[in-house]
This record gives sequence, structure tokens and C-alpha cells, in this order.
Amino acid sequence: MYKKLIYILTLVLLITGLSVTAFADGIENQTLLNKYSFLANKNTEDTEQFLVTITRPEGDESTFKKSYVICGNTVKEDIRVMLLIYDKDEERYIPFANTDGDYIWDIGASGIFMKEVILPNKGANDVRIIAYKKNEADKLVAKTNLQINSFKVSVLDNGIKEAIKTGFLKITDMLNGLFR
Amino acid sequence: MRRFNFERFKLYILAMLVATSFIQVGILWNYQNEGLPTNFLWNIFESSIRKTPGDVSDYVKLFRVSATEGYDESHFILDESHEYYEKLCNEVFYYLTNLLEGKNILGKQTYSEEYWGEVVVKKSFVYEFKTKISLNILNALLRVEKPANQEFDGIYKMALLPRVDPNNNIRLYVYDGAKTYGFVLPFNKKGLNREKYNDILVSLEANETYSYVVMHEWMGINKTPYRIKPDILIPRGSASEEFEDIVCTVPQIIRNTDTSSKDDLEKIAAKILGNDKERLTWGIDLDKAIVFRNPSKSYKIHQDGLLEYKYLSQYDRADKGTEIEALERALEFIANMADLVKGADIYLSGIDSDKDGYYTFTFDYKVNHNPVAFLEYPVNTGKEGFVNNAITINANKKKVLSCYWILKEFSIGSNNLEIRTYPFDLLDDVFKKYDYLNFSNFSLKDVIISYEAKSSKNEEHLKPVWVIETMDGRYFTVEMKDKKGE
Repeated sequence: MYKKLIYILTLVLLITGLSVTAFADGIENQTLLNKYSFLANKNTEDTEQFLVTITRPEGDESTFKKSYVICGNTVKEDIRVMLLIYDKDEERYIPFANTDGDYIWDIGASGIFMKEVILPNKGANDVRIIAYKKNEADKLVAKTNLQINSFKVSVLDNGIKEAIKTGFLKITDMLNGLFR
Repeated sequence: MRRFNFERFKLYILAMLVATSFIQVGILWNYQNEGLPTNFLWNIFESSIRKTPGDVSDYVKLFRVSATEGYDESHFILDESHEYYEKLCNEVFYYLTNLLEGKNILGKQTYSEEYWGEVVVKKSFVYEFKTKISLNILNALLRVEKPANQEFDGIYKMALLPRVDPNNNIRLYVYDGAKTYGFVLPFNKKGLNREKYNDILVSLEANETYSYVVMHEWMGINKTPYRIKPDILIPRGSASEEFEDIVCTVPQIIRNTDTSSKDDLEKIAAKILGNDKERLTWGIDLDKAIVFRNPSKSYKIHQDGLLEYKYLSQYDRADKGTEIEALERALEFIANMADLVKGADIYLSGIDSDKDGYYTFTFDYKVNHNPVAFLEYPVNTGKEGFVNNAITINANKKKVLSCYWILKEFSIGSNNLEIRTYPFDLLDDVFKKYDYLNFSNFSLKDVIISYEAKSSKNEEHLKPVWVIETMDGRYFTVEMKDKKGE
């Protein structure tokens, strides 16, 4: 009887433990957003890139593909990065998962991160990248140990790409004709 | 009368003895050094009777050809079986021949190394050798008879840009690993015109299956914690790809040799040593390697297929010669035994010209257009602890001085692999696996997907790995994940 009880208890603990690990990202993300509600606020000002250098996007960017890779790097240790996207309905930034299903990740020993996301909107996608020292998560202060950067990544229609290409070709061919 | 004739006869005999003693001295002299016993005579006419080496074009090959529409667009790698591969190679070799001959050059300009990074993200066709190829080798490859003077001494990579010139010319950029050189040339009237180049790009985009991106487009130039070459290609997204099951074995003739059978040893001697076999003695080493040797040469064939060759006599440092002269000796050596390697193409993968009195050439295998990597392959009996290439040859203009050659046969197995070409954890995985790496001792020269082969006497099913090459010539490998385990 005791054996059965211990077995069931172990099983329950194991399942609970696994679930905690699986949802750890989400919980931490949500805790952070609850604690620092200004992170979700559209009007929150960006900071300098003093913890992490974001190399992609580099300012507001346009792309023709919904799959987009966000990149950055740091020479500092113990840096955690969180990804948010602006939700028009909720009128605030919400967690945005990359293709690994992570909203939040630590920058590894290489100092470089590359994370693929699927941009949900045709047109503008307002993405916010938050970086902070992970052991200071309970007392984050913007510009001190918290970096906030917002970007607009627009997904353009492939028709525009074709139009640009055709237009460019026509113009260059016309110029070639003139100067031949 | 009779007495007079006898004296004459003695004179003839004496003359013949003198002549044969010279021949004997010549034979012995030559025997101590190299080649056949008649080589001392042949050497007098060396240039006219030099054996035709393996053709340079059989071994000096482009490693990678890629094409892109431009910045932030996909880069497509075209392998040798691609319908446009040959056409595009003929194009670049036409323009390169013109450049080497100094013909039809309408303009030229020299740029920094960083500019190469800008070239490869424009609408371009990029052609890469695995190593910098010196001008004298290129001249031999393209049969340039009257080479013009050039500012660069070799080519590592080249790019054709058919659309950037405002005067309807084509631009050829050459990168030697340190600087970028731009040239303007008129379009080849018998070759592809602008529209044809464009059609190729459109067709590649239309059939887009698997594409790459230049790492710098994502990382920014000079923004990373360590140096990254400006043209490194990595897979564009989290796709997976089907990889063939490559099977690697020791060549059958070595595998099946009974070292106690004289017939078997003679058979392998004939195959590997050719004309040299008559004058070599053979034996079996403690590690069961077959050893053939004479006073000037030693061949050792290990059970894993590793062939070790050494020239045992002194060599003259003044015989270093030019790269092409030494390469020809290396290619003669390879061509004699190349048929032992089955199912693979051999390509020149490295040249070290800095050695005193000789050059070091390395060669590697491609199996069905896929590179095979032999990294840190143990060669315990020599000075080197390991080699990083299938063939490592030291040669001067007269002879091959030493060689490590991992002889293998390759075939395609039936178990295809679905491998995730997910590049995003790649750098973290390298730093995790090699925990002594830090920002100051790491750099990135290239990232290549290769099949990794290890030292083995048995049949191996090779798996693809990421091979990371640093700027100081070190290699790191990272396992690629099976799609099932993603």
C-alpha cells in the first residue's frame, strides 16, 4: 500500500515538475510584465543599447518573408532577452514566441543570439526587445540594468517586390539605352 | 695483323667496361635518390620527357558556387549537378582568362577586404576555391600562355556582377583573402547577357527549396564580439534537409590483403607502387601495417587505409621551385593511385607556401558533391600527431617528399537522413563543446556542412556535421541534430 502511495506521489511530483519547466518561460515572462507593467506600455521610451547590441532589426525594417531572424550580441555575462509584440486589440505589448516556442532566453557563451520568429501581420509588426541582467530581475531600472528597444518590422507583399524589380530593371535598361 | 686486331679488341672491351661502369655508377646514384634506374639518363632530357601529371583541372576545382538577387535575399548554392553550374563556371573562367591575359579590361579598382562583404550581398554569382590559388596555378588551369602582370598573387574567391555597371559591362571582383579587386569587362558576346543572368536568378527563386544567408547581413559588420569573415553563408531558416547515407570503407585491396601471403603483398605492391615495386623490400610492422621500402623511399599502409609515404634521403632546399611545379609532382603522385579511392572526387583544399624548401598541399574528398572532413585524424607514426585532410603532401619541383593519404572507398547507402539544418544554436554549441573558447581566441572564417569520417578499419556510415573553421586555421565540429529529435 505504502509502495503504491509513494509511486503515485513520485509520479505526481514528476509530472508537476515537468510542467513547471515547460511553462517556466511563460511564467517568468508574465511575472516580469506584471511587475514592470511599463514594459508592455506603448509609450515607454526606448533606451540605449547598453547591454545588448541588436543587429537585426537595425531600426525599422521591411521584409518580404514572414519568417524573420532577430539577432544581437553582447560581451556581458548573464544577460537574458525577452521578446514582445504589440497587440492592437489589447493595446499593449504581449509576449512573442520565437520558432522554438521561447519568449525569453539567455544569451549563451558565444555572446551572439539568432532567433527566428514568424511575423504574424502583413504590414507593420511592432516588436520590442527587452534585455536585462538575469540576477537583477527583481529590481530592474530602465537605462541602469534594463534595456528596452522597439522596432517596426513590416512584411511587404511579394507583388511590391516584383514591381520594384521590374521598375528597377526598366529604369536601368532605359539608362543603359541612353548612355550606350 | 692478327696481333693488331687483338689489341683493338682489348681496347673495345676496355671502352665498354668504362661505359658500363659509368652506367652502373649512374644507376646506383639514381637508386639512392629516386625513380627508375634509367632516370639518370632521362634527367638529361628532363623537360622533354617529364611524365604528364594528373591534369590540374582534375584537382583544382571550385569548391562552391552561389547566386543571389541581392541584400536580404536568399543565396542559392549550385552544386556540380545543377543545370546552370557548368554554364556559370564557363562564364567566370572566360572573364578570368581575359583578366589573367590582361585583355579587354575597361577599368579596375582596389578595395579593402570588407568590400568583399558588400560584393557578395549584391546581385551576384560567387565562385569560391577552398584555398587561395596562386596565379601560376591559375595560368596552368586556364592555359594562359602570356600572363599579364597583376596586383594580386592569387585568387581565393571571385564574383560576377552582371547588373551594377551603368555602361552595360560586367564586373568581375577578385578576393585574395586580404583585399578585393574590381574589374570592368565587356560582356562575352558568345556567353550569357544581362537578361540571361537575370533569368537564372528568377528561376532559382522560383524553385526555392533550400537557401542561405550571409551571416554579416544579420550580424552587422564589425559589430560582433569576435571577428567574422564578411561572406560566411549559413542556412536561412529552421529547415531540415535530406542527407544521403554515405558509407565509407577501407579500399577492398587493402581490406582483403592477407599480410602473410606473398601473392597478396605483390598484388598490393603492384597497385600502389607501380614501377617502383621491383626495387622495394616489404615487411609487416608491429601494428600490422604493410611496409615497402628501399634506401630512399618508404611506403607504409595501415589497416585503416592510411598510406604514409616518406622520401628518406636528403633533399635540396634550392629545389623548392614554383607552386605549379611542386603541385605537378604532387598530382603525379596522386594520379598514380587515385583509382584506389572509389566514389569520391579529389579536390585541392589547401596550399602552404611558407615551408623551407618545399610546399605543403592538402586535398580532400567530395562524395556526390558533399565534402567529407577528416579532422584530427591520427597518424601516430610520424612527426604529426594528426592530419586534418584526406591527403597531405609535401613536395618540391623535383619530387614528393612525404605524404599522408587516407585511402577510402565511398558508396551511397539506403538509409537517408533527415537532418535539421538549424543554424541558430550553432555558435553556442561550439562554445559549449569547446569550453576553452572565448571572445579573444575565437573567430569565424567559414561554416560548412560536411560528412565527418573518423579513423576506422571498419565500415562507417558518415553523418553530416557543422565544420567551423577559424581564421587561424583551427577546426571545430558540432553535431547536427536529427529531425526526429528537434
